[in-house]
Amino acid sequence: METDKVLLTIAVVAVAVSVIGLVFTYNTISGFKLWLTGLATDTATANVTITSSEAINFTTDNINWGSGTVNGGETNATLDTASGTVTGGTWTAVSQGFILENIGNVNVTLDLATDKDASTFIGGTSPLYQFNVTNNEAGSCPSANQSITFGAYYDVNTTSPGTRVCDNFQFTDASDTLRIDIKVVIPADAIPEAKGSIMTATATAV
Amino acid sequence: MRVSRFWRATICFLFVLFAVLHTPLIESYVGVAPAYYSIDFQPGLVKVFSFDFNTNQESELEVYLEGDLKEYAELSTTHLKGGGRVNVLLKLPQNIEKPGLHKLFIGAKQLTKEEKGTIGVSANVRAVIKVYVPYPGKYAELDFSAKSANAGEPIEFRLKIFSRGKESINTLSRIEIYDFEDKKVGELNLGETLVEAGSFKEIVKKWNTEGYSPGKYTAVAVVRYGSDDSQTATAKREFRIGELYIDIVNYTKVLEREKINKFEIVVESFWNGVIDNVFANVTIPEYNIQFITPSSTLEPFEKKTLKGYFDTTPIDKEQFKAKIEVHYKGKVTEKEALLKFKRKIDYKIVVGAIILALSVLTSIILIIILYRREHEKKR
Repeated sequence: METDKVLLTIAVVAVAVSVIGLVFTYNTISGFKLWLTGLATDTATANVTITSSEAINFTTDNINWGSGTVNGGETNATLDTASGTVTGGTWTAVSQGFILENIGNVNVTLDLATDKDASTFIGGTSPLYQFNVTNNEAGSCPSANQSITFGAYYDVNTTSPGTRVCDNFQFTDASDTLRIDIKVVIPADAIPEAKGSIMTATATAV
Repeated sequence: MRVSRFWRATICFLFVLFAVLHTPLIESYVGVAPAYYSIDFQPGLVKVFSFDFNTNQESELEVYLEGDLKEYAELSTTHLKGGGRVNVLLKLPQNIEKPGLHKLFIGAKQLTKEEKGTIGVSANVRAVIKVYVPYPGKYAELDFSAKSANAGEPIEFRLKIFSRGKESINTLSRIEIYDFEDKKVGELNLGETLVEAGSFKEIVKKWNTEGYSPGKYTAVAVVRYGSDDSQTATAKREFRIGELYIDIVNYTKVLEREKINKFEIVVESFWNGVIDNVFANVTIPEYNIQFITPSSTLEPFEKKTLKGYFDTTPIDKEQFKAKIEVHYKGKVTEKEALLKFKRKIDYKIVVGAIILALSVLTSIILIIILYRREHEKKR
């Protein structure tokens, strides 16, 4: 009797999963209508055109060090996601930069811009707001196509579309992910308030 | 039929697992299809180009135009929520003076609200309508690529010849190869090719590298498309013949006493392939110090910095020798390094010098004051 119940339950689950799977499969195929076009003729010849598509995806899309202060006696504090450290301050260290993936099927150029520079974002005496780009997967931006030195920090750029980072950001699955790290230097005399900024990544088909 | 608690939990778990597996691993994305259209300029052309933008369901997109043909285009919408179709009505003029490639960008930017205390992101994609305005008469443009290879493997050259003029062209092409000293070391004859106006032809040719040393080379494609000497198009590409070797380009030379120091080693790959598990082993034999950097992956011909840490407390000398070994694919590159300590400022001496200078200055001022008083008394 107990065995019957078990089998019945498994059967119900299997049917439910199959029905839901069918719905998802149908939706997924419908969603691809825009990306793949096909023409079948009565002579049984199939013709498929794959449309070029350009898409980028931030799989990590925010950096938040929380609240903190510059340590007494220090002139500033440095918050750096590349080294995952906070020096001279009480903020919580963050070791995860932004992860940006080229999920399209064409190579793209990549530019980075921010809505604020160091003085408008942080303020105080000699603040710093910088970014640094590295290949998260080897070959995502080949050395010959790197428009800046990967691994080195640069001041953010507020003029659209920003700083050209890569001339040929690859789309192949094994090498299509870049990491963008952020470093901010908060001076001891920066006005205390919650501060926010937006970084815009612009991808353009090559 | 009553289902036991265990089976209810199992069913719930399966549904949760199912939902998780079907949740897209996407946080913040924007895409567009197609990524570009390419057309040849036609006077007075009026045409609609459609672009399908997609983004997260709740995301709002600001759609905009950019580029030098912006004034000839109109958008069907400038705002999308969760994606959608944008039609671009392009009304080209009767004439565009500047021949060559003109780009019209159709962009969509996520409207992201700023969150206090956070650095957020916004994705922005730009599709392109490429409009080629023909040159008067005959004109050729080249797209040339040279793939690096390892020693003994052939180098593949790809040359696309575009006829961008109003007339067809008959081309005579060759590829010249120069070494790092700019000395010509080879030539490939590509022969004659007829390219109709507004079209292109692609030539693929392989160059045998046997007998050539590893290093940097330059290939120059030379395409003659008319009787006039000026009717020659050239394109230059650098390529490398690789060898399995990693060079130690630079390293930390100055250290600080009595603390844990970061030691950086800049390495460069000379291999046309990915080299996994590259690490450095640094030893300071005189003080029996040894440390290893975490292993890293080098892309073809990539330069990278390996980082390690060690404590300088046991070292008493001003200068000392270290041996850097970089390990990769069963090979080792070695370098002897002479390291030294940063000169420490002796604050006692500095403070003493300041006190002495102030004392001398005070004494001089006192002497002057006393001298003046004596002088006034005498008067």
